[in-house]
Amino acid sequence: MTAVYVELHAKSFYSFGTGAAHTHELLVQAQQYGYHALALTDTNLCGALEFARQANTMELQPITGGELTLTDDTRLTLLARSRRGYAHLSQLFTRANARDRQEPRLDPVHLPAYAEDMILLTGGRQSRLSLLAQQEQTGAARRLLREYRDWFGPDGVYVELQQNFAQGDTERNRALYQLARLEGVPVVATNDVHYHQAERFRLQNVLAAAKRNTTLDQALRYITPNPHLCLKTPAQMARLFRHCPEAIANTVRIAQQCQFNLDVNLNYMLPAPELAPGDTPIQFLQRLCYKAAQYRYGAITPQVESRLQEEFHLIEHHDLAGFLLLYREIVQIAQTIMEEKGMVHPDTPRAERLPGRGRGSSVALLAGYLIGISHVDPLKWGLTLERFIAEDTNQLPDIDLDFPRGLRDELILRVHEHFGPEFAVLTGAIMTYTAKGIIQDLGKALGLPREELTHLSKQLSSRDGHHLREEMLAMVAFRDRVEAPGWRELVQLAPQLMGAPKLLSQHVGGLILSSSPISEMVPIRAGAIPGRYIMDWNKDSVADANFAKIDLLSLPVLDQLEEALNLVQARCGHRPDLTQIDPDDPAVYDLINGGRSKGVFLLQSPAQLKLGQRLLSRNLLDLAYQVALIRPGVGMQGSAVSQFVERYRHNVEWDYDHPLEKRALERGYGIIVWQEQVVQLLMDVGDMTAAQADEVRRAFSRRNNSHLIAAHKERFMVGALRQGVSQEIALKIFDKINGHYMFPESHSHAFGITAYQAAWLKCYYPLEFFVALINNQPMGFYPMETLKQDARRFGVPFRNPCVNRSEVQCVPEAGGVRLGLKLIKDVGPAASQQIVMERDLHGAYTSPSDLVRRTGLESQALLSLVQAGAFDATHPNRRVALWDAGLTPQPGRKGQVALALQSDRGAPPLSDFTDWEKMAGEYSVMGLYPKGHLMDFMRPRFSKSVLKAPEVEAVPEGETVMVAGWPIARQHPRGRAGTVFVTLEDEAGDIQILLWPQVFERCRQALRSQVILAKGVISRWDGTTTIITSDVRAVATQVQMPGAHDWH
Amino acid sequence: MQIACILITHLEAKVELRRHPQLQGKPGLIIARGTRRPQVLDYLPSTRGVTVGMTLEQAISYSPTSHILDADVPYYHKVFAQVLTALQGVSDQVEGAELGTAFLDVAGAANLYGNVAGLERALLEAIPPDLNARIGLAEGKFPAYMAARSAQPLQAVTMPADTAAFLAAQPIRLLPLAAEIRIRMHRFGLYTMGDVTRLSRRLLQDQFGPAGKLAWELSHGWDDTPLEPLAHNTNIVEGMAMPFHTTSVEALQAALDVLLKRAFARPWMRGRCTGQVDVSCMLSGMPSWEHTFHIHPGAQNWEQASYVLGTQLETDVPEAPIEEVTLTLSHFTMAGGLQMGLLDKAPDDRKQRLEEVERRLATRFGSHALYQVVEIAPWHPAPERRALQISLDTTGQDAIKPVAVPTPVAVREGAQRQPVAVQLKKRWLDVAAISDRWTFDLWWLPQPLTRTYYEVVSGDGRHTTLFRDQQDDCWYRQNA
Repeated sequence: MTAVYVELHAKSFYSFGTGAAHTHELLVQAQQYGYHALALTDTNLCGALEFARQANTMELQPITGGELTLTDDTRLTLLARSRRGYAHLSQLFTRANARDRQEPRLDPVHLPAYAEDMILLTGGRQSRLSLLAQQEQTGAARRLLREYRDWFGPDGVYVELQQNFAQGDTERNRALYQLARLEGVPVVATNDVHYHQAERFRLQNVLAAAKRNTTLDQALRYITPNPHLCLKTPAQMARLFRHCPEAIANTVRIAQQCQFNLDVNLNYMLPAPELAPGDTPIQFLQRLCYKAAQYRYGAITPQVESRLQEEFHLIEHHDLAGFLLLYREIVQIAQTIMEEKGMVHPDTPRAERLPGRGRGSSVALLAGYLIGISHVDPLKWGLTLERFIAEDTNQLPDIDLDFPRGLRDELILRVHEHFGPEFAVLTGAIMTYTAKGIIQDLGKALGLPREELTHLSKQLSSRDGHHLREEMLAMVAFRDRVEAPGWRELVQLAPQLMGAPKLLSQHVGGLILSSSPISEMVPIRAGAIPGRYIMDWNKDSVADANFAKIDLLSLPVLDQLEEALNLVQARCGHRPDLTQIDPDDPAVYDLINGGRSKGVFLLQSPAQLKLGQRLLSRNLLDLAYQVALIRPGVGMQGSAVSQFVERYRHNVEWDYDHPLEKRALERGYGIIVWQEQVVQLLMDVGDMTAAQADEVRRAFSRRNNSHLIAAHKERFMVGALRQGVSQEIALKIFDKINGHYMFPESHSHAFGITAYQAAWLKCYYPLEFFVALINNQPMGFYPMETLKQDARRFGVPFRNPCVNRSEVQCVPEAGGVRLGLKLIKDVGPAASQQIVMERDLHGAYTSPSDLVRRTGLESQALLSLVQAGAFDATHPNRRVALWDAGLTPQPGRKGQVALALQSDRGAPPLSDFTDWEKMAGEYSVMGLYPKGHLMDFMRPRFSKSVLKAPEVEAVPEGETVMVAGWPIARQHPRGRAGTVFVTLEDEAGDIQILLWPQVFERCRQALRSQVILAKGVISRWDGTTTIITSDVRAVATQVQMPGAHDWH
Repeated sequence: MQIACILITHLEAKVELRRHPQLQGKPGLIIARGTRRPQVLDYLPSTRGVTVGMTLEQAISYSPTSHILDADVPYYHKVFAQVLTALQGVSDQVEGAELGTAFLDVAGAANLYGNVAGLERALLEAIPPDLNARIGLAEGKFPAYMAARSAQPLQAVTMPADTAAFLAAQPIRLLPLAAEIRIRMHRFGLYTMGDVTRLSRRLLQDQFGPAGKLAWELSHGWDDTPLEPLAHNTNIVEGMAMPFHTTSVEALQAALDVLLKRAFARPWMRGRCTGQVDVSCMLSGMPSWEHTFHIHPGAQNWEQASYVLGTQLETDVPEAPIEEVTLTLSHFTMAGGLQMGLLDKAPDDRKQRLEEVERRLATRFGSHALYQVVEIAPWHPAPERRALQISLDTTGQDAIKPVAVPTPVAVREGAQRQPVAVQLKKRWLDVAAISDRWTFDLWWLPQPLTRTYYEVVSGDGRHTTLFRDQQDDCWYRQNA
C-alpha cells in the first residue's frame, strides 16, 4: 500500500536565515513525492499567501501555519484550521512582533486567547516540551501538555516527533511518545523541513551562521549539520516511524482539519470617508466637485457639467466615491503639513496649494482635479474618461500620489495617526539576495577575509550570483581563489541563493487602509523608522489579497517645480499656473525635439534625448508615448522603439502575427508599450478573463516565477488553441511578454504632463529652472557639471560661490546662478547657514581669518571655501587666502575659544594657483567648474584630428573620427546584452558613443578614466548621431571629476 | 655625531628573489592582502610601470604577465632583524628604522677600521650582498638617509659640506612629515626642499607649526635627532600546536594558560613581572592573527596574565580555525617594583598540593596522571572536540589533549554498510541491535568531519558507540 503522509512543519527562505528553499521548490518537490497537502510554517507569514496561491495552481492543499518563538526561546508550531484560526495566528505573530520587531518573541500568556480554531504541534527539538522531556521533568512536561489541551481543545494538540538523525532524536522521541501516551495526547510525525532537497543543507548551514553574523564554526551550536531536514517521501517517513504508524496517519487527519485556504476573500474593506450625518459619499463628492468647478472655471459650463455627469455615473457604478474621498482625506492631511512646514508660498490660494499630484488613472478624472488629487485639468489636456477606468472592470483604479521629498515622510506618520496603526499599515517589501549580498553574507559565514569580500563585491559587474565563478575568473585578484577552500564553497552556493528572500523591509510608500484591524488579515510590526508600521506581505501578496494599495510616493521634480515657480514669482511678480499653460506650445516641443531637455523630468536620459529627436512629439499623446517607450519592458522587446518610431512617425506598415492581436497592439502600433496592452493581448489571444490576464501580467514581474509562468503559459496555449490560433503563433505571441517594468497608460499621460511642465519652465524660465534643479540634486541623470554646461547653452552662467554674496542654496543673480555655500564639500548646510547668518548680522567678511574668528569654521571647510573661489572677492590670490586661513587658530571641539596667537608677519610672496590648479581645486570641492570645462584645458594635448562634439555633426556617415571627453553616463540597455552607450562630454557639447560587447570588454578599464579618447565610425539615424566605437584609450588628467554612473 | 645610514631598497622583493630564485629576471608583484583592496607592497626589478601602493588591478593592467606573490611581512622583518644584528658587530649603536633602513652611530669608527673607506667596507660586508645595501654618511640621521638615497647599490656617499645645496632639488615628499602637511605645502607651491629653504623658518612655523620648523631644518640638512639604539631585550617565547584546528575561544584560552604556565615556570621569571604579552595564532586559510596585550602594572604570575588575556579575548578573537599558538612575554620589570595590594590573595595551597601529587604520580607511573578537564564546545557533534584535558604539569608536549578520542575498530558490515559485528578486545561480537543512529557532516572544516554513528547492542547486552568516518572510510569506536 502506498504510504500517505503530509508534511506539517516546513520552512522556506521566508524564515529569513533559517529555511533554504523557495516556496515553489517545496511545492514542486511535494508534488513529485505524491503529497496531496503541504503546510508552510515559516517564522512569519511573509510567504503564506504566495505559498497558498502557488499550491492552488498546482492543485495541492495549502495549510497555513507558523513557527512561533516564545519568550523563553522555545518554539512551537501552529496551524490554522479556519479563517478565524488564521486571524488568531496573524494576531499572535503581531503580538510577538510587538515585543521585538527584529527577533519576535511571543509571551505564552497570549496563547489561550487566540487558541480557538488552531492546531498546536508541540514543536521539535527546541520546544519547551522536548526540553522538559529531555531533562526528565515528567511532571512539568505533563502539566504543560494539559495546559495546551485546555487552551487548544482535546483535538487541537499533537505531540510532535521528529527523526532527523541528530544525536538524541531517538531518545527524545521515546520520551515524548511516553508522555503523549500518559496524557492521552495524539502524536504526529514531522520532519522539521528546512529545504526541499538534501543538497541544500550546506546553504542552510551557511545561512544559519550568516543570520547570527558569525562563522559556521562559531554558529555550530545552532546548526543541524546533516542533510536530513529535507522534504522526505511518504515511504521514507513511514519507514522512520514504522514503530509509531499513528504519527504518520495523524498528519493526514490534521490536513483534513486544516481546510482553510488563504487564497480566499479575507473580507477586506476600505474604511468609510468622514461624512456629515445623512450624507452619502457620492452626494458629498458631487457637492465638492461643483463648488471647486465654480472656483476653477468661474461657472459650470456645459462641457464641465456633461463631463461631471459622465464621471459621477461611472463612479457610482463602481462605487468609487468613498475611495476617491479617502484620497482627498490624505491630500488634505498633506496640505496641512505643507502649511505647517511653510512649504507653500503664502500668496497662493488654498485651492491651488496642491501638495501632491496623482500619477495614475486619476489624471483623466475631472472630479480628481477638482477635489485636489490630480494636478491635471483633463478638459484642458483633452484626456478622455476611458483612461480612468473601464466600464466592465471590477478592480479599483490605480492611483498613486506623488509628493515633494520633504513632505512624504511626515505624511506617512500622520496617516498612521489619522486612521490608527491597526487600520493604516505600510506594505512590506521583501529584499532578495543579489550577488553582493550573497558574497557578504555567505563569505563571512565561510570565514573569508572581510576586506577581500568587500573588494570582490565592488568589482562585480553583474548583480547575478549565477555568474560569480566567471566573474572571479576574470579578476586578477580573485582568479586564483576560485578553487581555494571557502571561496570554492562560496562559488558553489551563490547560485542557489540568488533571488532568495533575504529580509522584510518596507515598501517605499504603499499604504493599506482598512475598515477592520489589519492584524486579523496579516501580521504587522513596527517599521525601522519610528512611527511607521509595516505588514508581512509585499506588494504582490497585497495585490493577490485584493487590498487597495495607496502609493504615497516621493517625486523630487515636484520640489523643483515648486521652487522654480516661487523664484519666478519673486522675480516677475506673477506665478504661472502650470495647469493652465498651453499644452501644445511649439517652442516647448522644439526644445524636447532638439535634444535640449537635459535636466527635464523623464526626458533627459541620453536615450530620451535621442528619441525626442526621432519621434518629434507635438502633443500630449506623443509625449505619453515618448515617456513610455524608454522603459525596460519596452527595451526588452529588441528593436521595439525603432519600430515604433518607423510606424508612428514614418507610417511604415506592419503585420500582426494574428488578427486577434489587433485590439491590444493597435494603440502601440504593433508594439507593447503599456501594461494594459499585455492584459488585453492575453484576454484576446489566450481567451482569458480580465482578472486571469492581470494575474499573468503580475506573475511575469515576480521573482522566481518560472513555475508560475510555465503554468500560465500552458493555460494561455490552451485558450489560444480554443481561439483558433496555431501553437506556433501562440508561442510567438506569448514570448512578446516580459516581466520588466512598463508604464500603465494613465501613468505615462500623468508623467508626460509633468515632464511637459518642467520642459515649459526650462523653455521660458531657464534661470529659475536651473536654480531649482541644482538645489534639488540629486534627482536625475547627470552630474552637476553637465547641468552647468547645459545651463550655459541656455544663457544661464554659473558663478562661483562667494562668502559675501552666496546664500545657503543657489540663487538667481544678474541672470546667472550664484552657487550656494551648501554645495561646497566639507561646508554643508549647518556651516553655510551659520556663515550667512553671521554675515547678515555683522556685515561682510574681510578675509578667511575674519570668517574663522566669527564663525569658528573648521579648517577643512575653510580650505574648501578658498578652493571654490569663495574668497576671490576679498583675496584674488587664492594661495594668499589659504595662507591667511592657515594662520588662524581653530576653536576647540566643544566650542572652546582659540587662543588668539595671531601672527603679524603676513603672507610670503606666493604666486597664485595656475588656472589648471584652480580648475582642479573647484572640481574637487564642488564637482563643477563654473568658468569652463576640463576639456578646455585638455584640448591642446590632442591633435586637430580629435574633433569636438559639434564638429562630429558635420562629418559624413561612415567616416572614422576621433573624439575625446569626459564620460558622463554609461548605459547598459537590458534588451541588448553587453552593448554599452557612453555619453562623452567636451567643452562644446556631448556625443554618444556605442561600444559593442567585445569592444566594451576590451576597453572596460579605460572607460572608468576621467577623460577618454575614442575612435570609431559615424552612424546616423533619424538625424541622431552615434559613433560606433572600435577603440577607447584612457587619458591621464589628475583631476578629480565626479564619477559617471552606470545605468542598467 | 657621525651617522651612517644603511638603506636597503625593495627589501621585500630582494627577500622574495632569495626565496624564489626562479623568478630572477621575471616580473612579479608582492601583494599585501590584509587591506581593503589588495595592494602592491613591492615588485620585482623586471616589473614595468608599477609603483608601490597601486591596487592589484592597476598593477596587473600595467604588467599583465607578472607573477603574484602574497606578502610575508613577518618574514621580511625577520630578515631585517638579522641585518640589524649583523650591523651590531660594526657598531653597538644601531637603530632599526622602517623596514630596510638602519642608522648607526659611527663616531670614531673610521679610526677603528683604518679610515672611512674601511668603515664603509665593514658595513657593506656585514650585510648579505644580494640585498644591495647603500650607505650614506653625514652629521645627522636625515642627511645620512638622503646621502644613502643618492648612493649606488653597494656604494657609500658622504654628505658634502653644503648640505642645503645638495638637498635643494629633492622633493618634500622625502621629508618625514605627515601627509596632510605635505599636501598643504604643495598647495602653497612648496614642492622641493629648495622651495622650503627659500621661506623663513618663522613664516613656516607660523603656518605649519612644529612641522614647518622641522621641514625648514631638515631641508637645510640639520638633524640632531638622537639615535635610538636597539634594546637588548630578553623575550620569553612559548608555542604549541593545537590538538585540533578550532575556533573555540575556550580552547585558545586553555592553550594560552598552558603556555603562560610554562613561561612563568622559567627560573628567569622569578621575581619578575611581564608588562606585555604578544599572542600569535597561525590560522587555517587566513593570515596569522596577532594581538598585543598590555598588562598594567604587570603580571607576576600566570593567573594574572591569564585574567587580562581572558577579558580581552572576549572582544577580539581569531575568526578562522587556529592551528598553532605562540606567546611572547616582554617588557619585564622586577616584581619588587610593584605595590602590594592590601587584599592580595594568599597562595593557593590546594593547587600546590595537587601539583606535588602529580609530580609523584608522574615519577611513579612515567606519564601524566592528573588532568583538568575544560569544556570548550559541549554542543559539538564530535565528542572529542567538546573538551580538553590539561595536565597539571604543563612542561610536556602532551600537556593539552582532547578527551574522548575515538579509536579505530574492526567492524563487519552488512546491508547498507551497517555494522553487524564489532571486534572488541580481539573478540568479535555480533551486533544484536542498533538502538540509535545519527550523522553529521562538518563539511566546511579544513579537514571535514563526516560521520555516521551507531549505538549498537551486542549479544551480551553491551552498548557500544561506533562510527564510520566517511572521509577515510574507516570504523572507530567513540570513547565516552
